Amino acid sequence: MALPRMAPGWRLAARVALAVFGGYALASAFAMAVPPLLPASLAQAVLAATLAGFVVHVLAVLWTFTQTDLRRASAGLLLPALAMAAFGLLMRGPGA
Amino acid sequence: MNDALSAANAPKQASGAGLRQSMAWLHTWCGLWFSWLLYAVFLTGTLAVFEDPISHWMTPEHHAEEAALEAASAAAVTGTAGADRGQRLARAVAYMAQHHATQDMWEIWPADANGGGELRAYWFDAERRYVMARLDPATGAPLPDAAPAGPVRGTHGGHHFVDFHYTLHAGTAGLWIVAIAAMAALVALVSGVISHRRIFRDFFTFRPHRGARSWLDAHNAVAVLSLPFQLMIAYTGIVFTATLFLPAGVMTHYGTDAGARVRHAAALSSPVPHARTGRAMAVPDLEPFAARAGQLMGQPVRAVVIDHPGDAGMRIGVYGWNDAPGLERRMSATSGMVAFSPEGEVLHVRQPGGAGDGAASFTSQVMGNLHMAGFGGVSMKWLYFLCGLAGTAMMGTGAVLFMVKRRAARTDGFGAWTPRMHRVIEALNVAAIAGLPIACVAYLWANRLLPLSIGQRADWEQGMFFAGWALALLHAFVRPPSRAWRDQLATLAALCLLLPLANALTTGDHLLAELARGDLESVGVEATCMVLGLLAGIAALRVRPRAAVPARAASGRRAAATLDSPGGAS
Repeated sequence: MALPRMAPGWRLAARVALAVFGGYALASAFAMAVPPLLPASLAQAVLAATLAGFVVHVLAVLWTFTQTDLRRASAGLLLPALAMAAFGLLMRGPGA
Repeated sequence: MNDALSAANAPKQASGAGLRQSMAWLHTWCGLWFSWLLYAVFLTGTLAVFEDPISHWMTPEHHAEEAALEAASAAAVTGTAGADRGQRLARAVAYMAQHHATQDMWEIWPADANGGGELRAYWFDAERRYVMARLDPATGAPLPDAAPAGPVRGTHGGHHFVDFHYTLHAGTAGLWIVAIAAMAALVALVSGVISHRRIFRDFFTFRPHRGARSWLDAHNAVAVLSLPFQLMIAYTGIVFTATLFLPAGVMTHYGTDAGARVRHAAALSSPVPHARTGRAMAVPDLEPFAARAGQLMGQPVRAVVIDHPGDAGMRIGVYGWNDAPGLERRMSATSGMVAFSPEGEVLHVRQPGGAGDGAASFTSQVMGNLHMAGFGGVSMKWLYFLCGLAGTAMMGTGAVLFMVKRRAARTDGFGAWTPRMHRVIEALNVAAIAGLPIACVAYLWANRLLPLSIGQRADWEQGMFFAGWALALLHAFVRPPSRAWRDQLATLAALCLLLPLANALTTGDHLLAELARGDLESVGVEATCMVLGLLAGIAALRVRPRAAVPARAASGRRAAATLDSPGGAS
């Protein structure tokens, strides 16, 4: 193993931080990416995606606690978050 | 759930047992650390269901006035609406044009639902505060604030509970804290369900007088009973200010400046954009707009809102009055609305409680109304009250269960800190579960005992709420846990049971008199308080002093778990 194994307390702190902030990042990216895909006015679509974002956050927290490998859990949250955030920024209209 | 801390650090592969174990760990610790705050939010939120009756009880000087108003509005002949609405609207427009011409939003409330009542104008002042002027309906001249006829009992009334349950009286910071707690509640609820093997069978299981088992059974019963309610309340509580808590969508598509949320909110209810054109245009006679809108939405006119008044790009929005039967029936409490161009073209129609703004807006409005029990009338409010109490009991039993189990099994989750942490958790349990209700009823006592003449009286009452809670916290740390439970439950019982007496001694009013004049709101407050006091009294009697901490023998475990718990499943 390349990295020394963290003490259990630190691993737990890292897991909680990942669940809270990584989950929030995923929820935020979801709220950025989904509106352009919905068949509704932009305002309605943004509200819909934001409302659903809280469900994404809760599921992300639960999922993080089912994962054994913290690095895999980080990748599982942050890579989709990055991809969705990039997509949302690309699809931004001229008004924003 | 025995210290699955290690289980969460290295859960077994996604096998059923590993999943349940990690979810059980999450449920225990997420539940524990948020249980006190959630208990406070849930209990005050449950009281907030009856905000109006509590406010009514707390303002006895206004009872006659309230009854007169009610009689007047019941006696008012409907069908007079619009008789002089046109003149009222014209007078308010003249007032606004003379005094607040430069404001970008004029909002005029011409009359009550029967066509009478006050004429009011609203606008945003230089500090972006929403302000109001009462106008004389006959002349349009601003009216001075009416001086109260009798003595005034300064109070925040039931609104104290409403405000506390979602901001903790701490403004935006409190709003965030409560929202984070609500997210934690969702996590704890879902992980609690997953960690359960036989949720249905457990619901029908109750093993009394068995220490930790009984607490677990009680916790499961109230949790399963109110699970859908709690999921709904936690989620719908967050979505009130969804774009504040999760602003990424708005920031991406509406910009990152301070006005972005406002622009998004405006776009939600008016799909047709409207902006200043720079061309001057007089505000038209508003009565034709009001009359047309009243026909289109089928409601009497509550408010006429003019955006960009005096500009050719102005927009005239007319909003309707909701009536009680309509509100009881509809899932959304949104009134009807019709938007016009200044030339009279209809831009947008939303039927009362309808989805005219769009599916997402409608969903959000329905969720807001679900949270506040805005439909279904009084019986729905009682259902919410009972479900709220069940949810409160779930959080309370969960917090107690945590300690009972650890005392019984003598597990140490905190290493060398275990005795100290357990002492802190015990004290917080007492101060939260028994201490907060004491603070709530102390608030009602303060309403009757504080002199009417002191300045900032309403804030003094609120101060008594926090003072009561602080005393309970102090007491919980000073006294041994089982004594603290008993003292505080007994105090709670006494304060609740004696509240009607305090009322009788200070105002001369009492349950029989309230019943005789049909004042069911006051009866409801005092009777509910006495029932809760009775339950607290029973719980106080069932707390027995804890035996000297027994050795680690199995028999000792059973004894410790059974002896020290505040009253079975109450």
